Amino acid sequence: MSRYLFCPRERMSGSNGNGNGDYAQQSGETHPLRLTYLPLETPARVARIDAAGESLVLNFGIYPGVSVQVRQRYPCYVIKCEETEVALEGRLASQIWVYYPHA
Amino acid sequence: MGLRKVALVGHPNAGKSAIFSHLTARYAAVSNYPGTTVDIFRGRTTVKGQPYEILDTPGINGLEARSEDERVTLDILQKDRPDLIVQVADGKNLRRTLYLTARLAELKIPLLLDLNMKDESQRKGISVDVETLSRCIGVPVVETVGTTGQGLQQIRDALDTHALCMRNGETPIQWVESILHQVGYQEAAQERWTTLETTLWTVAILVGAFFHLENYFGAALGWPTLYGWIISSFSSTSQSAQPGLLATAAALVGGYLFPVLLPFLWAVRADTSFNEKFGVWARKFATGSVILVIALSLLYQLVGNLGAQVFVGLLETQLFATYFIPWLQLLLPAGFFYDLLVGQYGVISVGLTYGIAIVLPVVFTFFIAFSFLEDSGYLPRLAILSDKLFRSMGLNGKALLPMVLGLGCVTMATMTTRILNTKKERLIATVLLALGVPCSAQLGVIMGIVAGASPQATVVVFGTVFTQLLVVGYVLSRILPGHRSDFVLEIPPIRCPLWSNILKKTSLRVRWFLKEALPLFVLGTLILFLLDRIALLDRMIELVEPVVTGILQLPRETATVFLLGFLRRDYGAAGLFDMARSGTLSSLQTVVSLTVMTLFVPCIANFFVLIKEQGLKISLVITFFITAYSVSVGALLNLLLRFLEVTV
Repeated sequence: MSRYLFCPRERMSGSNGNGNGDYAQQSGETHPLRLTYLPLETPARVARIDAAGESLVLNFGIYPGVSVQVRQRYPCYVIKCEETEVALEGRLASQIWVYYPHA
Repeated sequence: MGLRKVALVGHPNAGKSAIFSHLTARYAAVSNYPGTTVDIFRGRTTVKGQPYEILDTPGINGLEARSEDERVTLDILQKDRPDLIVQVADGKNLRRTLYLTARLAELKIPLLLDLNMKDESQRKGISVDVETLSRCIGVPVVETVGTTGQGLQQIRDALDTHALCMRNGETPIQWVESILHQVGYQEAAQERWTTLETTLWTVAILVGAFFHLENYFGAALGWPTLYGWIISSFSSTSQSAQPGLLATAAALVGGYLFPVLLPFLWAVRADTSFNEKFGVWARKFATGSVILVIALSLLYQLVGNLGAQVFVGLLETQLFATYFIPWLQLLLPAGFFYDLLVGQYGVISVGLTYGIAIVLPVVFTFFIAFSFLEDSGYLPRLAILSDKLFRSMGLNGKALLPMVLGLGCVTMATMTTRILNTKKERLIATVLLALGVPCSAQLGVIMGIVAGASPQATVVVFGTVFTQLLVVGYVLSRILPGHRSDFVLEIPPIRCPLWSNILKKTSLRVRWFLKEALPLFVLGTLILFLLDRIALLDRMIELVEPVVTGILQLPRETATVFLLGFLRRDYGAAGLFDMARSGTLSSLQTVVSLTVMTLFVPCIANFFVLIKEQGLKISLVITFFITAYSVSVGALLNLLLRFLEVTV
């Protein structure tokens, strides 16, 4: 259960892309989930990026198909993509949807 | 043959400026954080008789400008259209690099791809088949190491290429992925730290810590220390009460450089995986706070103690006040020239003494520390830690870079606000810079004064200034129209600063100080001297006297210092330093006058940059607001301290 302790607010609101709010159900499947749900240091493949974050995130080499991992959540998100570490605030990190576990 | 225009383009912090410096033998500031270059730098070079103009540009992430510095580059690319684009890229991130290549290909300008940082890619086990890559994308590909200049000849040889990047039809992502597939690109494997390196690192840290702790606790308990023994063994040979040069050198090595820098340098040099660990610690909240406190105290040690106490003591008290000035005073006959050079407002006794003996040692030590910080890659991590704080002021973590640069020189930092994304953010950052961020010399002088005063004084001065920044930032973020942009910042790896680059930067900055600031010190003293001669100075002081003696309850002479402060804030601070040392100011008055001086109007140079970046109207409003605000804060602080009967 400890893996879910640091899951941010969005989990509570249940907006995880497939209509139901149950994280556990999708964890073994290939439904995309928000990057902010992803356990730390776990590689996952990007599924899609919401419109609000698109132009920003594409510029850092993060687009559907590439592997990313979350390195840190606080004080702000740090994600790693290839050898680039990018710091970004949660608002943007939650725009990225990933497949987990790593397919 | 006509001049061929070559633009160095690439992601932020890819090493464009380093390549530029090697290609043109003209130095562009090189640091380890994104956004060092905010304007176009131009240089010339000739290869095989063909002259080239090389353009160093601010980093871009795509073809859409999100901030002023990106706009500068995109304007060059889209409107000026150079004859060749050299894409300088981080070789460790091939996917991201090629994505930008795909976008640059849309411009239909001949291209040359330079995979920089070859040394780091090799350490990470990333190797790229350059020939296959070159064949796939249709343009020459070279590999370089920007810091050392390795591989630069390949760029020179390929400057005459007219090859266009081959990309038709596919979307950038499809194109990038197909090329990565053809090249057989593998992402990096984890690297290991050897036992020898671990041992060396541990030993160095232990030795450094031992020296440092033994010096601190031994001195506190009154025990003989090894460090003290080194000092005394040196000074006993020089047979004088004052510690001689040799003892100072020993103090330098034993007390500052050895315990502080050596373990760190050693560790960083030893292996990159220590850098990685350090990089992770520095960006996490708990460990990052500890590292920040250590970094600040080191800075304080270096600038406040070594610079403002030891070096200033040597130069000012020993050289200038004991030998140089009295000697000149003996030499010159009384009269006009005596007053002009060594009188109360003498060019040498005040202008040069302040500039060379008080401010220069301080800025020198600060510049060294600062170059080290810039090159290590620590600053972007500090931006992560301070993001929340800046958000409360309507900014985001990115604003840390101009703020910290402001500690170097507010004028340059005002230009660096270009890296911020919205107009509102730029304005807030500019105001905060002008209001409360002291420049290096001023900061060092302040540190020197409060180091001589009490710990409470330090807390009150810096606490007040910091609170004012928060308050003004918060209010501005509420009343100004516009919005805050999202925080996105690339975090470069922690790198071992090259001493050659640190020395180069420090010497450039010192030279800049001597060229830009020192003449102003002399000019300011001349103006004071003339005003004093025609008895206008007294009139002017009388004019501001109600404010200075009445509202702020400071001695009359402080008015002169504040006048100097407008010319350069560090000049004013040096004046306060002089007054505090000679006992003209009580400790409470010192605190009040320092606070006012720190918040005080921007210096003339900053004022001009303000006009350039924000326009005359806004600049005047800012200046007027800051003057009124600083005096009000000083008056309130004075009342509060007197009312609460706080002893500082």
